[in-house]
Amino acid sequence: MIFWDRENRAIWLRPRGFNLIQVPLTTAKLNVDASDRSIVEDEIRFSSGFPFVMALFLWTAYRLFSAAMAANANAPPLALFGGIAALVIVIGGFLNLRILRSRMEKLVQDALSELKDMQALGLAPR
Amino acid sequence: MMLRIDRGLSQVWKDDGFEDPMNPDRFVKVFDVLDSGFRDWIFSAFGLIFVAIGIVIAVFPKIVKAAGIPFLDVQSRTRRFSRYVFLGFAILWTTISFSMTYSQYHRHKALAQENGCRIVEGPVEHFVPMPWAGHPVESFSVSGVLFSYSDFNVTDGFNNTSSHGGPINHDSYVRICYDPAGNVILRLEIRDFKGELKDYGKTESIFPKRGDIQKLDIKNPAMQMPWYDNLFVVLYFLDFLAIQTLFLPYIRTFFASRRCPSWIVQFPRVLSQERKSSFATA
Repeated sequence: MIFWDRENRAIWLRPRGFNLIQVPLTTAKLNVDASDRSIVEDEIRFSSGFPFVMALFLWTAYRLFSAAMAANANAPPLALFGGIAALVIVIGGFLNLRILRSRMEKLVQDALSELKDMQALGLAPR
Repeated sequence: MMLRIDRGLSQVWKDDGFEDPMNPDRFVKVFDVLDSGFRDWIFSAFGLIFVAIGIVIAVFPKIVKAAGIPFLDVQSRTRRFSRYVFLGFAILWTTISFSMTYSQYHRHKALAQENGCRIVEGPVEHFVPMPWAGHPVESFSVSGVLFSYSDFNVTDGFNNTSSHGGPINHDSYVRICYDPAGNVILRLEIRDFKGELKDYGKTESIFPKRGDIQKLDIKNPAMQMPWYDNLFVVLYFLDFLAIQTLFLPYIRTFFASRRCPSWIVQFPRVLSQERKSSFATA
């Protein structure tokens, strides 16, 4: 899927699929030259809102568990529970980000290959 | 003797235990389909929201384009057809749901007016209350006739469960006028009713006031909502709208995690400017 961003001389790519109402975590940007005809650079970009969403999520989880665990004397200390949860999220998030970036790189390469094929077939202007 | 008069729901209320000559059988009417009116219009009115959206998409595509909502800006013939299908389906659904609910109400009203309903009287037996969140529905039987209902059902009959402030409990002695087709309660009278006299046929608001929730007998601490609970519903719709309209401005803020000066690739003219498109093989 393509969004032409004429102001920024860029084409934005998103993964295909039923993700219309989701906020994307990664996206690709193809930078276009001054003539608006050629792609000169590609970038993989990561969501700027994600750190805020994660911070909000962790804060909400902390508030929820601190309220629930305060009533249970046998529960593990909240700091220990929060530390383990944060560690799992950091490691899982790091691995997941690498996977997402790898997928997006593959998408960019596929998109550029398609354009090269179209160029070879004479569909693109020379 | 102390008597209270209420607006049509219950004519007489006895407080001190003396016999009321105006109400010798001591029944208090708590619900009547004739008083509650056609309550199900809200159900079919929801369809009007989608009719309005369908009209905007189908009849005024320029508005969608001007608003910059990429996913509604349909271009191809197939998609142009699909937007009319959307509008047609929305109109069809709204019409059918309204005609079905209204014809049912009309029938129930006629039954109650002409005393064509069946009447059963006796103590409530096998009473099973519904949890606040539903499932299973509230049910009981009177003289072998089973009644079941839920606040989440679309019906013009009585459907106010005890967990949502309804008047029936396992000690109630009731007289019910009902439609034998489905055992829908059209009129409900409770003997020596001591509960709050209010409109038990009133539809619950989708944005209940905090005081209304606190009146209910709910043990779940998750239901002890703060003052800003309904704000989240509004925020959800705002979030959906923002995703649709601010998509491009949002992804412009993304951090570059890898930048690769790649080989120069020319692209075809078919990828026209400032519109959503896809590659030929998509």
